[in-house]
Amino acid sequence: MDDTIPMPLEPRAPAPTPVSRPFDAAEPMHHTLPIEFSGSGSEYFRIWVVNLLLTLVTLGLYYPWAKVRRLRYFYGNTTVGGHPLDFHGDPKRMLRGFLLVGAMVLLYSVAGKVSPLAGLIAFVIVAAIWPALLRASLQFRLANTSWRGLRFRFCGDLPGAYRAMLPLFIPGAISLLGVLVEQGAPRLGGGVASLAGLVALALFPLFFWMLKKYQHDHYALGQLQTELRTGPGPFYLLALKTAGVAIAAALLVGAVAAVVGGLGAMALVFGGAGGRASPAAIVAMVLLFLMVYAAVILVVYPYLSARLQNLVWGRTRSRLVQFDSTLGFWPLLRLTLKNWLLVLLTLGLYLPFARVATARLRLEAISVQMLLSPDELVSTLRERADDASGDAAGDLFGFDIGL
Amino acid sequence: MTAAEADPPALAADYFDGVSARARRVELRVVGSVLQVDGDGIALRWPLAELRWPERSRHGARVAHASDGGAVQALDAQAWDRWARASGIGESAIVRAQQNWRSALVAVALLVVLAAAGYRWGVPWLARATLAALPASVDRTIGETVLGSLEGQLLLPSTVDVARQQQVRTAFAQALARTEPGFARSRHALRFYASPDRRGADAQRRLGPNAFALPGGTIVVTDEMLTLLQGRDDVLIGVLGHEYGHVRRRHGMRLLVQAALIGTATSIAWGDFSSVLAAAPVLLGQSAYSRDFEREADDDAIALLRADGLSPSVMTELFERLAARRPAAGDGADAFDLGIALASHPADAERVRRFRDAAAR
Repeated sequence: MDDTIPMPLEPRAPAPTPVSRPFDAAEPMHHTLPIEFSGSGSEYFRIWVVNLLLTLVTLGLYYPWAKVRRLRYFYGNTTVGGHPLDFHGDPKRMLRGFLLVGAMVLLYSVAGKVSPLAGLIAFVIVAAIWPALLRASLQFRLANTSWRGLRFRFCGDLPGAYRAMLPLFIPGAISLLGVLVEQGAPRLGGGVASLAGLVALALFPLFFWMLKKYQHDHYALGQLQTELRTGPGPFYLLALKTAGVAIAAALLVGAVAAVVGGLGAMALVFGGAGGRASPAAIVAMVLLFLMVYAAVILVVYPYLSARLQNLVWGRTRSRLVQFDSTLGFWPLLRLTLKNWLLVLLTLGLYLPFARVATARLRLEAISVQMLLSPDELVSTLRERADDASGDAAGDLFGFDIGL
Repeated sequence: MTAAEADPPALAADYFDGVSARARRVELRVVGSVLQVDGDGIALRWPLAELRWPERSRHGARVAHASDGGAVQALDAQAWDRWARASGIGESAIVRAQQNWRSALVAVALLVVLAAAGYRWGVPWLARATLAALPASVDRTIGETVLGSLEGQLLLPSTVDVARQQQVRTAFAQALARTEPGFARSRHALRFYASPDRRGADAQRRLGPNAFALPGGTIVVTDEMLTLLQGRDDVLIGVLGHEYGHVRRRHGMRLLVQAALIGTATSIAWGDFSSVLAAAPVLLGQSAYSRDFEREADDDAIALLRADGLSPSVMTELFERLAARRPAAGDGADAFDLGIALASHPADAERVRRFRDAAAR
């Protein structure tokens, strides 16, 4: 359920100098670079619908061109200190990566259906190359993003990607063990599986921190490189708070749902001659479940993503550059509710408007300060990362740069 | 040189060399097939064909990239577009369509038509084409996997004696042998399991009187179905014919492939908004396809019964006996059938009508 952030782009860029003090100031000058987004929902709607049509007519082969167009529209409408970002990805190259990764995903999903063992083997293979794909995806995206003529870089190394993903492998390894144990002793296997679940739950904030640290420690532009200056503590705190919000939301909506329709549903389920649930009762139960689910999505997701964006970008800084993010929960909640309502009412046609509105809210909450004039940024080496399969993998497995 | 070429329109822009972030003021001119970039100490000649040109849009800046890493940028998009047009830079039909409401609305209409046609013909056709390339051994492996996960859970060892099981198999084989050539060609295996329909807490875990087909040709018949149709082996042949229809047409596999196809299409359209919203069309599409398959399987049951010299209307007995077992409240609930969009089978009344109509013909 990734929300519509097409790409809170990597604005680890410094920029021109709208607010710079005179050159003779004794202390280092602060250059504040505001981020502005000028995209328009109606214009993006036209781009989206034309490209979606082309993608479906070509059985998906046009997808990379559509994606490049979307990124160029969003990047081109994002100005950092008055200068736009731009995306350079070559759709032809991306198509190759897309086909490669598509074939992999197809094999993976077929393997799971053919037999549990084949599914397990496919899972292990995907898990083993996942960190490399993540790195390739970040490298590709950043190397193909520019600002003021300079290309961004992602300078994280391959071992670092595997280290960052390590907490994810521990519960994975335990559940693998559980599957093996289950062959011999089914009861014990179940125990091992639930242990794996608990470990995964406890490790998740740590994993997320390590992942974000790996990402945000290695964004670079010119002589700038960012760092994520925080330990895992705030991530655990945020996980606890989010759990609290989730429980509160579920209780609140559950209570409302029970009053509105739940009683009727119960009567139908248990009041009938005790046998099968009638279709009406099933529909009522499904609606009830959907309401609770919607509450979790509609309340918890904006909460988590606003707080997470503020946490991650607020702590992203280095000697020369510093980010801040002040995205409010309520504005994002209001926007999310509005987006969902209108997307549902329009059977999906509102989606491009939702994407633009969300991008604007998220991007404009971020600000950048630099201790050197953006004019002084110099790119020392021209690095090209052209492994577009990483980009396609990022798409299909659902990770994107943003947050 | 003609007069027009001698005086090409100029545009003020920023030039970046790709090494420094410093912007330098330049003037752009298109002369022939070359973009001239001129400024203080700058005199670049970029062939237009090697430039990555920006697309026209109402909002946003314009940046054109050269293959040497340099770029020219204009924040005034309208001025850039006017200059580009005056310089004879064309734009693709796609860009024109994107910038025009009428063509965007045409695209919406075409999308609707395409979705409907793709759903009605495209997806089933693609699924059949995919399956034609997929060996039958894959079906069997999947079927075995599913059966393995049901055994011991929903399906318990049958308590029907082996002689009766064999009798059903023989009767069905004889019925199949009387059908038209080609009909009986598909490999299948009848298997019997108990799945007692207990009331109470355990009710969800029992199938009761039921029969279903798995990919690969396994047809499962519950003991309870045999009991329900006691004394009516003609109806039982119809039920088996229906399941055999699923086997013959590889319905199980087609559902799997069609779900994957619809899932891919909807996740391209909506996936990044919400995976749940993107999954809804898959669920609804699956139910509708499943109902179509049930109708096809009913047609096969009719064909089998006919070939066996029986009237298709014997199948009404099945629905009557099933209805008699159902709690009384169920009848009232059927009138309130909101679930039709999600139901995997057509309504009983419709199926009964189908069998009766077939008998009348």
